[in-house]
Amino acid sequence: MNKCSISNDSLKFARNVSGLLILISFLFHSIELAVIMMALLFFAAISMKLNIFYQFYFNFLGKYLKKNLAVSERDKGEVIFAWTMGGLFLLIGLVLIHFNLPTAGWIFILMDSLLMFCAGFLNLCIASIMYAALKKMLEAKKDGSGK
Amino acid sequence: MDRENNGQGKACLNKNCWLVETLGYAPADRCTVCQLRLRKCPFSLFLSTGMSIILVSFAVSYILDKDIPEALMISVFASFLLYGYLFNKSTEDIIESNCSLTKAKNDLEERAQELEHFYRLTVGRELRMSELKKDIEKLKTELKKD
Repeated sequence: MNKCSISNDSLKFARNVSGLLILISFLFHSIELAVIMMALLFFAAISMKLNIFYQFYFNFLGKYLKKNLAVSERDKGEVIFAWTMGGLFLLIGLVLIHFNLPTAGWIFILMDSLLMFCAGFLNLCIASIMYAALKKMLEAKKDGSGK
Repeated sequence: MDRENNGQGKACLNKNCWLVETLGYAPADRCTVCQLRLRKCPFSLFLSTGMSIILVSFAVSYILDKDIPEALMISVFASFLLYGYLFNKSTEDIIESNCSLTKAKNDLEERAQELEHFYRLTVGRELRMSELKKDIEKLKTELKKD
């Protein structure tokens, strides 16, 4: 398993701020903000170093608030998958808006915001569950073909 | 409560949870003290029920009005998040207190086992002593007769 070190508090902050900004884009029907957020989420999927909200909290705000930024090991694949899913949801929403289905598009964007907040507040990320399910399925398939 | 402890006196992951087992680590802090299966995890239940309610309410609104009003979207969103926040706080407390209870129960069982062992040892000793006393008396009387 390819692991990476993640600060849980910084991750929570990044999820909540992303959720908040996506919610703002929904409330003001701002496609520009949604596009920017989509780009930021895809950047975050490439590397956590490109996740500006995470880096902001980890390097500045956390230290300023004198928080104990405990770091834990996580599967790199899970992190990439979760942020990609967030960006993908926004992309689907924007595509639907572009193809003249604004209600469905904005619902997708709102759902993305909701799931981000859920991951931030509840610490339960749907994308992590999906990733674990996929991983288990692939491992089962590998074992099946190995036998 | 010690987050590294799962209530059984040793640091380990929740083996009952499919998600923790597959990932190989605890995705949330509470998972280090929780002993539930993912199917019974209050958070996953809340999320699945909440998402179903949201989708059903949107579908019903669309069927009835051929539109989903923004007010409905925002109110559903706000209520889901507010309830989620309150739910999160109380449920984490319940999970932690449940775990403390399990730990206390395990400690108590350990103590009870120790006591039982001690009781068996001491009672056996007393019985053996009384047997030996009887033997001594018997031998004394035999000696007197001789």
